Amino acid sequence: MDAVVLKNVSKSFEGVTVLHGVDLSILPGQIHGLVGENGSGKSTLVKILGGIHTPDRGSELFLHGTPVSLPVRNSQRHGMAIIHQDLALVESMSVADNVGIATGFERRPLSPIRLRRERRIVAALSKRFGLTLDPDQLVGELSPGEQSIVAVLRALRQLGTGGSGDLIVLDEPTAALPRGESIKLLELLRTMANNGTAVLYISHRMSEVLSICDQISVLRSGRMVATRNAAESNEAEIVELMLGLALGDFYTEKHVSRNETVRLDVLALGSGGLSNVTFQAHEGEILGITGLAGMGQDEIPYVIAGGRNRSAGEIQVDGTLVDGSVRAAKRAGVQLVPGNRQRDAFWLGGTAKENLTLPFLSRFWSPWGINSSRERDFTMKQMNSYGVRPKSPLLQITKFSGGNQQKIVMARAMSQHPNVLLLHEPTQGVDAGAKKEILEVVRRAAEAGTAVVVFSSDSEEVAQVCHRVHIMRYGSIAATLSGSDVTEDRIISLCQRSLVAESGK
Amino acid sequence: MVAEDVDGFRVTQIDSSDVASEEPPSVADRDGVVGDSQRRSRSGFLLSRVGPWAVPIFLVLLFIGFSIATPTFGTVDNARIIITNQAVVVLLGMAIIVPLRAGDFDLSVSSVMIVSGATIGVLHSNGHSGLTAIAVAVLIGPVVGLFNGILVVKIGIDSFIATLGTLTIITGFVSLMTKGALITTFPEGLTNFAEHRILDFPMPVWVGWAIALALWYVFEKTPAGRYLLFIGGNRGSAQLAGLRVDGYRQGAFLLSGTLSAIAGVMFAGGLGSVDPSSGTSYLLPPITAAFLGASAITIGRFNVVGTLFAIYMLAVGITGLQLLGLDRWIANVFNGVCLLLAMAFAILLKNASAKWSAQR
Repeated sequence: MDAVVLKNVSKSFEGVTVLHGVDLSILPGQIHGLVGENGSGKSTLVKILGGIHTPDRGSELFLHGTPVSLPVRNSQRHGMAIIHQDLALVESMSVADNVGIATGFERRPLSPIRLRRERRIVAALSKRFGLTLDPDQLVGELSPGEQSIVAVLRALRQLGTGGSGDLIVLDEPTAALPRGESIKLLELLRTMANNGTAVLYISHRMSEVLSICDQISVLRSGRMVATRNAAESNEAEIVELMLGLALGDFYTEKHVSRNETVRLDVLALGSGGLSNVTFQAHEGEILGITGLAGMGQDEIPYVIAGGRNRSAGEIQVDGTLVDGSVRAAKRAGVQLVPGNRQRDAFWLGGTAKENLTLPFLSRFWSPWGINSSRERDFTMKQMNSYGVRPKSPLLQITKFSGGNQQKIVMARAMSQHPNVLLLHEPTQGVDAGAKKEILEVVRRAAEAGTAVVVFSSDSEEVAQVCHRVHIMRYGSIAATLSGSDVTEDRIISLCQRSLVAESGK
Repeated sequence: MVAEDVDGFRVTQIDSSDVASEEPPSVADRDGVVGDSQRRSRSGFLLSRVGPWAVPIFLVLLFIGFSIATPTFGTVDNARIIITNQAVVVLLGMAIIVPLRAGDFDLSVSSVMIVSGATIGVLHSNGHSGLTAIAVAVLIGPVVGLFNGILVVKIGIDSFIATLGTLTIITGFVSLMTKGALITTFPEGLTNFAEHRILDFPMPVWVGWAIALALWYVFEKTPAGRYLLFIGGNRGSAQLAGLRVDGYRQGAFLLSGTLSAIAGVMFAGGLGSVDPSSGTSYLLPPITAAFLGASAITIGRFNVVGTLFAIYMLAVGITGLQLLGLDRWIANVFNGVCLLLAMAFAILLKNASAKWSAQR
């Protein structure tokens, strides 16, 4: 019997229908993938399961064949646990505390927590899934991948059984994880499914969904357009179903740069997690720097752009030395597109216009102050050429989707005519359509002569876009691929290899 | 609305940008075709339209209400008295919103005002010329501002705590300097200047308005005003965008101190006496007005026009209630209640406009 059946589930908000009669069923022991673009209704569906939203009349939900009254109350009691992308763990507390807190440590509020019992529970849970987690370790010290596992363990504890009959829903658990990191989590899901748990797995990462899921359902604009057996489908088909149109070749042909003029020259760079990092980026080149999580590739862009201090090394841009400050790097023409745009690029209280024009506001200066109509026209033009939707310069920045926010950051960087463009995880949390557009901008920038460096843990993207790829291990560059050697397989295998091995040409 | 993050611990968040990327696609439909009328609930729409004007509207309603309730309220003379009485508060309000816009508190404004006013009197009675006394008094402002800036920007003490410290130290010095006595001897030139009237308003009012106008220009029309907002909103990203974050924050404290000292000069001249213990009663009204002002005109941003409306609204409310026979205590209660109402209102407004996107 199906663990979960959704029948004819609809949901509308003040006249706008976001889910149109969605049907979905998941068998026990099955991992069911749910994919769709941002805004296609995935999260609404999850929130209905979690009881946050009340679906429209006519919607039905069955758990193990029994109808459940809607809205769902107390989803835990129905054996349902939902893990949101923001894991809601407390970094300054231990693994055991984070796992136990969901059930109130099964103690009354003022009775002491039985620490030894807590540790035993965590140890038992991790042992059952072949994991080694120290219950006393602080969550903040764990890698992002391990943190997501702690969130899953907490969900299992909430359910109490962790066996057959349960449903675990994961809403983009790996979106922020480097590829290698998510493997452990995916293995854990597989083990759980083998124990009879039904898993609903939501992700943007096609290759993960295809490899881990038994079945894949595709949502498009609130309609369930298809359900496929993962084994019989492929990435192109799924993406096409998601978008409702063929994207063509998602990654267009790379143009090859023959120019050897060095624009960015990094020599023996050292800082917190980096030692002796040396590389050069050429005019018109897209250079990739990748590696497993915590290997140092996330630090480099901020050291070059000046947000983080360096302890050793030299950086030259077009032959001039750059000291460690943000302003010196900017003067030399270095532009950084940070990976966490909301934290490092935006003032969330501001409009799209205000966020876009900030670094070069003085351009709009006139005798009577900032010429705001000129500023608005400029923003409008940028929104047009970078395909930002909606085209409303005065809309608050938080009202734009992740992909459109990223386009605005790109527009801001490109408007300052960079000599060197540093992109940190340029397409993280961005839907497929926007991803294509953003990568197109990157390519255009390189063709115009900018030296582009992409710092990304998405090996697929790195393989498809970059002319040359450096692979980082423990804070240094361990290997280099160039030309036709730049393939996803080679990158992944070099990332995974723990020994310092070959270096390319 | 609170300028500093005072949370004790952080919650694990792998990447907040991804959370948002899934959450608010509200308007950002593939083609952006969702109609404006559908986007907000009707009450939310009304709130977000009327909301920015709530403080000015309330000011007018209060004025009309009290004019009907008491025969003495709705007169030109009374309006003039209210405006004149608020001259110093306007200056302090302007002083306090400069660092607030950049995300920092300056609680020392009222104590700087008192020490600056008292200094004039003490120096003058010790035989110094009026101009020297005034020059020294005004100079106290940037000195204290520099000190605050070093504490907050260079050393990194939380601005609320640091300026609370400065406030306490200055208050102590004022009682040392004055031995607690009322200061009443001021240069004649100063008192004459303060009593000089243009269009029936004395000079301190005009000084306050002139500074407000200048500050409005800086805030709304120049890059510097935008930079301050950005710094107040997200210091890290302002830094990465290449702004001189520390310079602007230091500058905001300098300006705040200077404006407070000027307020002190006007205070001494206008009243003709300085009570060394009156500092604290001038602290709450400008803070209340600043936050009330930030929930008016441009919601969520400390702004000049909103602050001015808020100052006069508070003054009208308090004067009216006192004319109705309520005692002095009503001033504090009214200030406090208005501050809390404004904060709650601002949150309500934010929720109303965010409601639709959150539901999606």
